[in-house]
Amino acid sequence: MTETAEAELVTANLASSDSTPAIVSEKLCKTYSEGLIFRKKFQALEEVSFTVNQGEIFGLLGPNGAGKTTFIKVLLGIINKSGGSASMMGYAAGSKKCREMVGYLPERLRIPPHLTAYNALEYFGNLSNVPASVVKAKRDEYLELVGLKGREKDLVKKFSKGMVQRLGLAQALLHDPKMVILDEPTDGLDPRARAEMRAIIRSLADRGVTIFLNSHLLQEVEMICDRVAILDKGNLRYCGSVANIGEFLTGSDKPIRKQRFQVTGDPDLLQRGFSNFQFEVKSIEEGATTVEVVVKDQADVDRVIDQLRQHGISILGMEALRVSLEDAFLQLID
Amino acid sequence: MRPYLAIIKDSFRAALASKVLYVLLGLIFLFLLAIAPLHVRESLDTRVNLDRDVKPADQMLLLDRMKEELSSDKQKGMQRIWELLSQETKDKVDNVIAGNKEDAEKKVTDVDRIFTAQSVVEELNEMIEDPEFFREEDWNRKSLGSEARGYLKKGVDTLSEKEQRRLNRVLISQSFGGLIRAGAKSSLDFYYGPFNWSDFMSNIFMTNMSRDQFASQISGTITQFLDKVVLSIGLLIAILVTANVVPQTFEPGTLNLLLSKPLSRTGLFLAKFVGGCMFIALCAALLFVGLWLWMGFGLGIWERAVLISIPLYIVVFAIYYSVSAFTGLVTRSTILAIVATGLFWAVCWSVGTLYLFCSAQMKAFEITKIVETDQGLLVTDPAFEPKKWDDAENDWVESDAPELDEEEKIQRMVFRYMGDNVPFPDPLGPVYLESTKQTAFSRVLVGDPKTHRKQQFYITGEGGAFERKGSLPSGITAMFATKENLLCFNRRGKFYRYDSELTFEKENTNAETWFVAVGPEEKVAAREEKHVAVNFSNEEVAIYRDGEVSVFAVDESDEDRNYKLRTSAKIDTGARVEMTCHIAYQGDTIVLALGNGQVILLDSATLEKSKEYLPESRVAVQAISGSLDGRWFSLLYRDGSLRLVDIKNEKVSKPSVRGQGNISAIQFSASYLLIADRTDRVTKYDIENLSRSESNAPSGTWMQKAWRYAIKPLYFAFPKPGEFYKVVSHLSSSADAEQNTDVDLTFQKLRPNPWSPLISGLVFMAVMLCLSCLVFSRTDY
Repeated sequence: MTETAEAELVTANLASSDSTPAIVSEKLCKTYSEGLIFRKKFQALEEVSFTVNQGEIFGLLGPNGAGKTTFIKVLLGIINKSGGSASMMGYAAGSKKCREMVGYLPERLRIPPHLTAYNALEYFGNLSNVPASVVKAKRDEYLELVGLKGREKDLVKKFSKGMVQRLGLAQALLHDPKMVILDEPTDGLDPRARAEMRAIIRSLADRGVTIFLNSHLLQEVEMICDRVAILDKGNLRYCGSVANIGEFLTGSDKPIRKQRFQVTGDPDLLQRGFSNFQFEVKSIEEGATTVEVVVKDQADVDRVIDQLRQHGISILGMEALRVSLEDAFLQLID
Repeated sequence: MRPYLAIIKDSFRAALASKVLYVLLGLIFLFLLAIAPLHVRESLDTRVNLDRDVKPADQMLLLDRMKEELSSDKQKGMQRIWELLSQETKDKVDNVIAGNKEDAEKKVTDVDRIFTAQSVVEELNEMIEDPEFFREEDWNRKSLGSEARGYLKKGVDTLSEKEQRRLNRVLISQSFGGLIRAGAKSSLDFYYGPFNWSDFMSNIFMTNMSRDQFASQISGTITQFLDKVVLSIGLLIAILVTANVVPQTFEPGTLNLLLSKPLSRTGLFLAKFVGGCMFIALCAALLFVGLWLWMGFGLGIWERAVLISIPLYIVVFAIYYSVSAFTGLVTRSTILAIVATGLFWAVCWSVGTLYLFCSAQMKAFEITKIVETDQGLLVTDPAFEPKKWDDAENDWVESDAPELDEEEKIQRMVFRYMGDNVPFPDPLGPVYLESTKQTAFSRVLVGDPKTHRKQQFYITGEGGAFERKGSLPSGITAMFATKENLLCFNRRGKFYRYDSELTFEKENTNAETWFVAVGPEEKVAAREEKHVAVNFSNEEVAIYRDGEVSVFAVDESDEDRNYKLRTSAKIDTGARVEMTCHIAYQGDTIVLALGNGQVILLDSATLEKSKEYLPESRVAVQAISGSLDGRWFSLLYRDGSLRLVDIKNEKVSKPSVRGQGNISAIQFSASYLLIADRTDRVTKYDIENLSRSESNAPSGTWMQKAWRYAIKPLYFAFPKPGEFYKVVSHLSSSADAEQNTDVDLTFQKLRPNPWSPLISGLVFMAVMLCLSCLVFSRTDY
C-alpha cells in the first residue's frame, strides 16, 4: 500500500462519532501454526487497523481466505490474536463483557437437531444469560421477525438451510445486543430470503444496533453497508464509505475511471478516434454509438475529445461513470 | 451459572432425543423383566449334598461307615439303603472297600473314593423321593432324633410329599451315624415364575441353602459381582454411548457459536462432562434400583451395596469418561475417543493384574530376618535360607551353608506360596553368638516327608563356613542368642542350651543334638516363636501364655546353670486371654503387643504394668524386638509400618525412616537399627538420631526394576478398576470390626485403605479434566 493510501486510510478511520467506537482494531495480527513437529506458519492477519462506529452497517469484504472470519474470531475470542490490539464497545476483544454485548451469527451455522425452534431460543438465550422467562416473552416476536412464525415447535432437523440461518439470526438478537456480527448471513438463501434478510438488517440498524457484516457478495454489501473494509491476504486494502471508493482509487496508479461517449460515425472511424485508449462499444442505435472508455483523469478525457474531433466524429453526449464496488474490489485485490 | 445449567439441560434433551437412551433403557428394562420372575421360597430341606452336608475329611470315610453300619445290628436302616442301591453302585462300593483292605497292590485313590461317594449320594437323593423308602420295621423309633419322631408321631400317611421326603432325608442322616449332617430344617428353592429350578441349579452350584446361608453368600459375592460384571459391562456400554458428546461439540458451526457466548471455556467443558455423566447416572439408577428391588422382593435380601454402587458406578464412569472427553477434545473424533478409552481401560486392568502378580512375586523375595555378624550382614527371605551381602555383585548371594539339592529348592518354591499352611515347622535363625563369633540357623527339608519335622542345625565353624551339627531337639519353636549362649525352646516348655563341647561315640552327627536341656521344672509351653523373649544381657527368658507372663532366670547356685521360674504374673490386659500376643524382653522392660493393638510395658522385676499404649494403627503387629540395652523397642506392623517405643522418654513414635509402609524386617544391633524395606534393601540407622549410616541396596533384576520404577508408580497413578468392590464392601459392611478392641486383628484380613481406589481414581480424573480444560482454553478453533 502506498503512503498516500495509508494516509487516506487513517483519515477514513477517524470516526466522527462521540460515542465509543463499536470496534477498534489496531495493528491486529494473527499467525496460524500448523503441524506438531515441523510447524508451518501462516499469517492470516497483518497489522489490520480500522474502526467501526456505533450504529453503522459495516461490511468486511475480501476474497476467500482473506482473513475475514479470522478477524471476527479474534474479536469474539474464539481464537487468540498474535499481536496488536482490538476492542469492542470499549472492552478488550474476546473478553466475557464484550461477548455479552454482541450477537453472532456464524458461517455455516449448525443448531443441535434435537431442539425445536422454541428450545433452541431458550438454549441459546440461556447461554447468553437471558432467563427462560424473558426468552419466553420475546421468542414469538423474534420468530415473527425472522419469518419463522408457525414453525415454533418443529424440530430444527426438519428446517431448511435458510430457516436455520433465520433461527440463527433470532438467537443472535435475543439478548438485545448492541452489535450484531453476521458472517455470510445470506449464504445459501434464495433471492426473496436475501431481500428479507436485508430488510431485517436495516430495521436493526434503525434501532441503533451496529451491524458488522462479513460477506463476499459485493452487491449485497453495496446495497446495505454504510462503510466497508476490504481485506486481501490478511492486509487491509481499503476502509471507508462505499461512495468514496472511486475517489480513493483516483489517487492510485491504477486507472479505473470510465467515461461514456455517445458518438456518430462508422466503426472504422471510431477505431481511429479512440486509438491509444481502452474502449468498449456498448450499443449502436439509430446512428448513435455508445462507447465506454477507460481513462485516468480529466486530461485523458480532453485527449479523447480532441482525437474524436480530429477525426470528425460528432459527440452527442458524454457522461462520467460511477465506479462500482465490484470494479473497485477487483482493482484492490491482487 | 445459568449458561452452564443450560448446557447440562441440553445434554438431557440430547439424551432423550437420541435413540441410544431408549435402546439402553429398553435393554435394562428387559433385563430386569427377565430376572424378575426369579425368586426363592423357603421349604423343607430334602436333598443330600456331599460338599455341604459331609465334612471334607469325612467324605472319604463315608463308604467305610456304610459298611460298618451294615454289619451292625442297631438299625436296619442301612440295610434298607443298601437294598435300594443299584448293583453298579454296590459293586463300586465293594471295590473301594475291598481294594483298601485286601489287595495292597490295587491302589484305591482318594479320588476313586470321592467319586463312589458321589454316586451313592446321587442314589440317596433318589431314595429320598421314593415314597416307599420308609418302612416301619427298618428303624427303631427310640433311637431316632426328635424331628423324625415328630413326623412319625404325626403319622406317615398324613405327611405331605415334602414332609415325607424330609423324613427320608433325616432317616438317611441317622443311618450314617451323623456323618451326613441333617442340616437346617428348611432350605431355599429357586423358582422362575411358577417353575422350581432347584434341581437343575443344584447341578451347577450348591443349592439347598438356608436363608441365612444364602444371604451371607450373596452379601459376600455381590460387591465383587457388581464390580467385575455390572461395572465392567456397564462401563463399556456407557463409554460407547457417551463418546460422541464432546466431539459433537466441535462440529463446525456449533462450537463457534458456543464460544461466542459469554461463558468460560472451562465451565463449558465441565458442563458438557457433567451432562454426559448425568446421562449415565439415569441409566445406572434405573438398573441398580431395579436390581435392588428384585433382590429385596424376589430373594428377600435387601442389600445396600447395590444402592451404594450407583454413585460409585458414576464415579468410575466419570474417571473413564475423562479420558474419552480428553481424547474427543484433542482429536475431535468419536472413534478415537472410544479406542483411547478402551485402550486405557485395558492398560488399567493390565497394570492392576501385573501389580498383583508382581507384588506376590516380590513378597517371595522379601527379607524376613536380618542379623549382623562379624562377617557382615545375613538376611533370609521366605525360603528361610541365609544370604550374605556381596559387594562385587552388589546383591545378596547364597551363604556358605551346604547347598540344597535341586528337588529341595523346587519344593521350597512350591511351599513358599502356601504361606502359613505349610505342613512343617518354620526353620529358625539365623542368630549370632557374639562371644564365639558364630552364626547359627536351622533348616527343614520340606521335600523329604521323613525328615520334614526335623530341624537340621547349622553353625559356623572355623573360617566362618556353616557346618551341620546334628539337629535341634524335637518340637523347638524358638531360638535365641544371648551374649554368651545359644538357647532354644520347645512347645512342651523345655529349654535347651547349645554346647559345642559335646562328643558322641558313634560320631553320627546327623542323628545327635548338641543341645542340652536346661530345665526348668515349672514348664510353660512356648507354642510359637512370638511367645518367647530372651534378654540379651542377663539371659532371662520371658514366656507369654494365655494372659500370663512367666520369667525364668538361670539358677546360679545350680552346677548345670539350669533355668528356674523367677516370677510369674497374670497381666490385666483387659482383653480376652486367647488374644494373640508378641513378647519382647530387653533391659528391664518386657513389652507385650496384643492382637487388639494394645502395647503393654512391664517392669521385668515385678511384672507390674508400667505403661500402656494404643497406637492408632489398627493393624496387627508382625514382629517386635528390643534394642540390646532395652532403651528402644520396635513394633513392626503387618502393613509394613514401623513404630518405635522410647522407654526413656515414654513415648511411641512413627520414625521417619525409608520405606515406612513397606518394611519387612528390622533388627537391633549394638548401636544400630537395621531396617529391611523395598523387598531386599537393608538400611543401617544410628539408633540415637535415626540418621542413615549405610545401605545395602541391590540394583535388582529387571523384574524388580520394572516393579519399582514402572508398575508401582503406574499402579499408584492409574485408576484401579478392579478394586472398587473394596469401597462398596467397606461402605456396606454394617459392623466396623476394626474399631472394636475385643477383636483380634491378627485374624483380620489385612485390608488396604478402602478409599485408595476411589481417591486415586478421583485424582486421576481431576488431572485429566484440568489437562482438558487447559487444552481447550489454549486452542484456537
